[in-house]
Amino acid sequence: MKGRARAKIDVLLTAEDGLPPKMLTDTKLPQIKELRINSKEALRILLCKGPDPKTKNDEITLLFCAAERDKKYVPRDALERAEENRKLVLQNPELYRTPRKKDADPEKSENGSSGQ
Amino acid sequence: MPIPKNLRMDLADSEFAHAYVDEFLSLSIATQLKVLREQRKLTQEELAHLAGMKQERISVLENVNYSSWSINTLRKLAKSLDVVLKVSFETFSSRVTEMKNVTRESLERPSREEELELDAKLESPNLLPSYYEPTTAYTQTVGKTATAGQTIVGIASRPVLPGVMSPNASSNQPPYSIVA
Repeated sequence: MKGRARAKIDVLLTAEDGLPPKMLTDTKLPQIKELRINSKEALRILLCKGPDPKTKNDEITLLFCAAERDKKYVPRDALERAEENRKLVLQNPELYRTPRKKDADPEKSENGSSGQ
Repeated sequence: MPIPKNLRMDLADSEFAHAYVDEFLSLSIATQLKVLREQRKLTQEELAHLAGMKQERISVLENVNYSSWSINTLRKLAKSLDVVLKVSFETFSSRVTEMKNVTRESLERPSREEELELDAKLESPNLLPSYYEPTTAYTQTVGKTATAGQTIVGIASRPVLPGVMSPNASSNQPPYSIVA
């Protein structure tokens, strides 16, 4: 499950715009998208672009992780909780921002000199 | 390209590692199918017709969340897109490298007809400038050959086509060098 989720998030962050197709599914709230991970359990990672308007095209924020059973989120209020988290992040994006280490330069990261 | 350290630690767990690369396989098949279809300016309906499938099936196959395709289905699609289906066992690092480069350019492929057309142009002397001649002599003398994208300096600074070389290629000291 963790491996599948990680693969999708890694590709989501590095792929050209518009690729891969149908990677993110719409939810009832237009600002929140769903990343579907299908394994033994159907995992649904609720996320949004940004939400800081300044970095909307460069960042994604993972808001809430739910399961899906009988086409319903578990917990049932997952989407509302994701929206609450989005608003929370929006109030102070810096507090929640976790820069990704530069994968392209693993040796620098190993030496602790990546500056991240 | 080496595997990034943070990922390398995770890949030490066999279950994680196989799930990670397996997920990318589904992602890459769906993505390349869409890219190749769009490169050929085909609608899902048109590709479905060529492959003897329904449009809905193509839509499903282009969905990254779908992973139940079969080799036979992919063979049919390869034929319809006029490309080759390649299935091979690979290393984890090669897969990780592919994952870092999901772009249209890296996924597009010319069709068989386009490839043949290009090859014919390269081999036909009529279509090439007169000062180009076959590369054999140069290859024998220097033990190198030029490939697409390389530039010859000294004689001409235009891009070198594969399998062709400039004059005086048979001399022992060619008055040019190949720049990658």
